Parts: sequence; structure tokens; C-alpha cells
Amino acid sequence: MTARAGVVEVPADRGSASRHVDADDPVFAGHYPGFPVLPGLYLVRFADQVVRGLRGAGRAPRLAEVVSCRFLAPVYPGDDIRIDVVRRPGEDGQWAATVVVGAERAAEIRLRYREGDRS
Amino acid sequence: MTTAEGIARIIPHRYPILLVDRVLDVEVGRQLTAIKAVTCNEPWYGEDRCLPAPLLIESWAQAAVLLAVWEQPNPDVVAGKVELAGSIKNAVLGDPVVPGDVLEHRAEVVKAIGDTAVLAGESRVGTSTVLTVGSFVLALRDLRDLARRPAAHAGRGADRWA
Repeated sequence: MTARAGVVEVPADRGSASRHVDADDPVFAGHYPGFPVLPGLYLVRFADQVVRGLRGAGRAPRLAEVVSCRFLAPVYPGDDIRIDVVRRPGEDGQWAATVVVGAERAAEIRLRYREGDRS
Repeated sequence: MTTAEGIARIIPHRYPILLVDRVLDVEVGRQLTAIKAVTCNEPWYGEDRCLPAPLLIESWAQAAVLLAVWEQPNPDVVAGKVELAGSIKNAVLGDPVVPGDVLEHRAEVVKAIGDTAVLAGESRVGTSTVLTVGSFVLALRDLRDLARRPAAHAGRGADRWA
């Protein structure tokens, strides 16, 4: 057992993901012709996917509200972004997400999930 | 009524992310009603076959953009300005939206100052409210004024972007 002494059950109340924004994503043909830039709501989708991934596919909660979202810098084809999510203690079902591109914050997002969907 | 062709003369969004099909009515500077028919023939459905909430919000937001730029059409961001979402608050989701649903978006102007507009509204499928948006701040920006520039545009006025 001593070999496992360092292993603890970590509640999945935070997580990070890296993501490469594929320049071949078809969305760029339409957003916008001549000036491809990722639709801001895609960052909300990525953050939602990270939270749902932490909860496990069988128990994926449904998004109830985008409480707030501030878009701070545009994200372009070929960018590498990082998405950090953390459950907000004391606020039922709420998660905060930060999207970072390079050295800059691209978005600050607050999501709320259906009550009762606790992992 | 404004058809898809008319919509493309007002906003720069194009396939596959032009998510408004028709404008039913508009009161310039005040409010707009638009519809989008949701179909299977779109690329973003997961196993649950629901329109992902961020795409629903994007579709409503495009109706809001239409209202905001109705009198200053901006069909080409290279020639005009780029429409960027500044912030969204209290976008509350209702029942899931599935292929076969027809979304009716209503957007209203809360405030408009220069190149920034604040809008609010809701989306319905029949009598069911599937989305309400407390506030959506839209900013129109010249490409040269963006905080970051794409690598592909590095050669253009690069000194301004350092």
C-alpha cells in the first residue's frame, strides 16, 4: 500500500485542456470570408466540452446558462489555446473558464449547469 | 421580409455559419424578428442530436447583429469592419433545440453608442422559450484596431501591431 500512498481521490472540480485551432476547420470559410477568425461562441463550446469531459460522458450535465462571457482577444486559425475550468465553490452548478491564447486571455466565461447534476 | 440573399447583403457571415434564414420584421434601431430552420444537415450535432447551446446563442446573436447594422450594412469585413462579440450576460437556456425546429429570434436594442451596441432578446420554438439573453454587447472594429493580429496578416501594417 505504501507504493500507492501518494494516490488520492481528487474531486474533478477543475481541469485544463489544450487545443489546436485547426486552420482547415470549415467554419473559417464563413467567418469571415477574407478574414478568418474563430466565432467567440466556439470558445464557450470548448469550455463546455471540457466541463462535460470532467463529468464523464454518461453523466454529462446540460448547460443551463451562460452566466457571463467576456471576449478579450480574437482567436485565429492555427492558434493554440488553453482552456482552464474550475468549479465555483458555494455557487451551485457554476463553473468559471478562462481561455488563453499565447500570453493573452481570449475569454473569461462563467457557465451554470442544471441543479442536481453534481458529479 | 428579408430573405437569405438580403441577409447576406447586411452581415458578413457565410456558409456554414450563417445561422439566420429570414428576417420577418424590423423596426430599425429598436427590434427585429428573424427565423432559422434547424436541420440535420449541419456539421455540429453530437450523439444527443441537439443543436449545441453555443450555436443557438450564435444564431440569436446574428439576428442581433442584423438589427445593429441594419442601416450600415457590413457584408464584407475586409472592406468594412469586423463584428466581434464583446460580452454576453445571462443567456438562459430552455428545452433542447433539435432538427426540425424553427427558431424565432427576437432582438431589441438596449443601448447604442458609436460602434458599440447592447442588445437583448429571446428565441422561441413555437410557444416554448428556448433562450433568453440578458445582454449582448457587440463591437464593430476596424481590422487594424484588433488586439491581436493573425499570422496571415503579419505583413500588413505590422508596426502597428507590435
